[in-house]
Order: sequence, then C-alpha cells, then structure tokens
Amino acid sequence: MAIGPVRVLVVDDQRPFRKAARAVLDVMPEFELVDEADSGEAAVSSSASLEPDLVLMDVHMEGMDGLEATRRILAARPETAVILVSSYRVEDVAAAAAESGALAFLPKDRFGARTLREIWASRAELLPRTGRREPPSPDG
Amino acid sequence: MSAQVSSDANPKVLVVDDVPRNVRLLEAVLSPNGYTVTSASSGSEALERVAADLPDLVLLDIQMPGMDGYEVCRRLRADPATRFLPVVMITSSDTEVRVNALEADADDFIRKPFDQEELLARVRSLVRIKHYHDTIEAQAAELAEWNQTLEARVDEQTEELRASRTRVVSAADAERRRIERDLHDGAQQHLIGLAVRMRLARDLADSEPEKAMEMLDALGDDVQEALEQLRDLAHGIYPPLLQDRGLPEALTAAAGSAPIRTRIQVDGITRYEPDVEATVYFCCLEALQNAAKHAGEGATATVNAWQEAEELRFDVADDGAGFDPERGRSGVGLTNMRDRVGAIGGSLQIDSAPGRGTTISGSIPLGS
Repeated sequence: MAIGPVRVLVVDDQRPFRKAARAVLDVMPEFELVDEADSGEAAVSSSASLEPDLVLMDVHMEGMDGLEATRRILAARPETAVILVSSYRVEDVAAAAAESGALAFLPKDRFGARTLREIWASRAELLPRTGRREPPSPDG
Repeated sequence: MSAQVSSDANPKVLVVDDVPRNVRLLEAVLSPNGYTVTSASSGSEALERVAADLPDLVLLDIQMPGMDGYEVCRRLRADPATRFLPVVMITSSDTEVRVNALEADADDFIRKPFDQEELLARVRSLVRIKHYHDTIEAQAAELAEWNQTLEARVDEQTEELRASRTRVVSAADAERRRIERDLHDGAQQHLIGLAVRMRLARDLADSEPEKAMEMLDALGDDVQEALEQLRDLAHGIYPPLLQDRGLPEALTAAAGSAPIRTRIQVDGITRYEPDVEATVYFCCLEALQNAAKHAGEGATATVNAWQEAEELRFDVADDGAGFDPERGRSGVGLTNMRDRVGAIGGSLQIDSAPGRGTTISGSIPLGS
C-alpha cells in the first residue's frame, strides 16, 4: 500500500457540498483532496488521470449520474473506493445504488471527519456487502 | 323502426278476399266513411301489399285458395314490422273458426254476413288503437334518439373535462417538481453545506478553537445565502405583495425587476379571486420573460390590465423583433400560460409579425 495521505476526488454538481467537503478534508492530514468534479463525465476523466484512492460521489447529477460514473470508474480501476453521497434519504435513492459497487452510501449532511475515518477504516468489511468483487477478506 | 303515424283523416285498410264481390262490398262500406281501401285476392298478395302499402288495418278472409287467412295472420304476427298491425278476420259463424282465428292471433273477427255499423265500429276502434300505438312508438324512438344525443353530449363534455383536468393536474405536478428542484438545488444544498461545516467546527472546538471560531464566522454568509434563496423561492410560489396588495402593486414591483424595460398601465384594477390574480400575474411575468428572450436588444414592453364588462383583460406587448405565428414559437411558456388561463375559463391570444413586435393578450371571466 502506498505511503502518504488518501487521495480524494470530490464529485458534485452542487457547489456548497464541494466547499464543505473541501473544508473537512483540509483539517484531515491523512486525506488529501486531489480534485473536484462537477459532473459524472468530469469525474470519470479525472479519476482516469489522477487515480484517486477515494471518490466522494454525488448520486443525482444532470447528464451522467453518480451511479453510472461509479460503474465506469470501478470498471477502469476496481481498486478505487467510492462513497456515494446524496441529499436524498437512502430510501429515496434508487436500489441501483446498492449494485453500483460503491463502498457506502452517506447522506450528505452526515458527512464529516469522523464518519469518513470510520468508513475508510472499515472499508475491507464494507466491500463484500455492496456486492463488489474485491481482494479476498482475511478469513475468506 | 317502421313506426309511421298515419293521419286519422285517411286510414288505409287492406281488404283480402279471393271473391271480388266481397271486396267491392267492403269497399262500398269503408270508402264513404273516410278509409282508403286497397285489396288483395290471395294470401301471398296480401303479404306483398302489407309490405308495400303499410295499411293501418287488414280485413282478412279466412277461406282462400293457397295460403289461407290463418297463415297470413300468423306470418304478419311473426314479422316485427307488422306484429301490431290490427287484423280483423272475416269468418262464417261457427265457433271452431272463431277459435282458430283467435289462435292465429287476430285482433278481432266479424261474422258473415256482417252488420255495417258493427264493422265500422270495430274498424274505427282498432284503427284508433293502431294510431295510438304508432304515436307511442314514434315518441319512444324520438326519446331514444334524444337520449343518444344527450348521452353523446355528456360523453363529449366529460371527455373535455377529463382532458382539461389532466392538463391542470400535470401542470400542478410540473410546478411541484420545479419547486422540489428549486428547494433541492438551492436552500437545501446550502443547509447541507452548513451542517457539514458546523460539525467540522465543533470537532475542532477543543483542539483548534480559533480555527473553529473562524469557520463559524464564515458560516454566517452561507446562512444568509440559504435564507435569500428560500425567500426567493417563497416569493416565486406566491409573491407576498400580490397577496397583500393585489395586481397593480405586484405588477409594478415585478416590472422593476423584469429582464426587459417595462411600463405598467393598470387602471380600474381592484382585487380579484386569488386564482385570477395569480393567473394574470404569472402570465404577465411569463410574457415578460418571453419578451426579454425574443424581442431583441433595446426592446421595451408594456403591461396593460383593465376590466371590461365582466372580464379582466390584460396584454403584454413588446416593440421587438416579433415572429411569424405560422412558423410559430410554441414554447413551454406559452402552453403554460394557455393552460393556466384556460383552467379558470379564460382565453389567450398571441399576435405577432416579423418587425411588429409581439402582443400576448388574455381575458378572464369574472364570476358573478
């Protein structure tokens, strides 16, 4: 595993959340914001060129939505961790979110340093649950 | 239905007898009493004559070569068109013949040699019954026709109502979607950002209190922005000025912030039902948006509203580029305006030509 901070790409067509995510990542030395994207298309190309470790992905966006962007990013680089974020409640987000291969779903207003750390720390356990093919678990 | 109402004045009687003398005898009695008499000399000819002449009554001799009177009567009864045609059988006196005549479903019988007065009395009363029957049948047919017309008209109106209700409901749905989007993309996003950054400030409060304070200060601007967006949205849903002061002030205020230089002329406008005020207000705003988009550089607009008879009228005119209505601009805006005005029983016209500007005018009936 690479030494250094976790490299993060933030994807949202809404400026306020990008701004808030940036503020949170700013005070977390173990994470580093490498880019912001305001569309699914921009996210796919940014992910291809910058190869982030983690993508915070908004679900609802005009054009290519977050689920499709997630599928494409994971198809190209399966080792990428994607956390879906949305201002909708989980029950209002399509069931397809569960099959997108994302690590977790997080309501945007719950996003914070602690939550991010927790999800990142438990990513190995989260992966199989979201149905994504991934390195075998230790007792697997 | 072949229900024909024959006039009382000239009832038609068909005399069926193979003996010409008998026919002449009956004719001599009936004709002077106002009956038109036709005749047939056999059963099969009788059936032809009935179909061709549509008599009001048949005087039917029983004993004829070939098809006898019983058979003729049975056939007349079997045909729906002649089921109720009065048939009087002319019999000899014996009982068995009478019973057969009744079994063949004749209406009456007359014994030979007949009594003139008795014959005329029976014919008269049966013709009258036939006439009543025909009248009733004709009225029933007419009634059924009215009923059908009425049903068709009701169906038509129901369909029209259903269609307009569907349009109104889908317009309301579209409006709700717009509000949801505005809320979601506007204030809600700001509040989400605020929530995240407030949590961050709280997390930092112990370790880096100064940074936390700085963050909280910065949040103030975002709170203002969220409030501003909520206020705009609420204003867009129903402008407070329209609710409090009515159309003249609301339109004047709207003109001030319109995307095109706008003059307002509202004379004799008072207060109206909220849906009328809202419709006029939003149509004028929509028309101004249209004008700003299409009229071109330097164009100006005028909004007129006035009351005429039992109608509230308005028009929004610009002195801009105009367009050819034949090649149309059928934007969503215009459809919205039409539906809105139509939903409260009004109508909307668009008048435009290249180089002559565009005038959108509407009239809304004011309830009594």
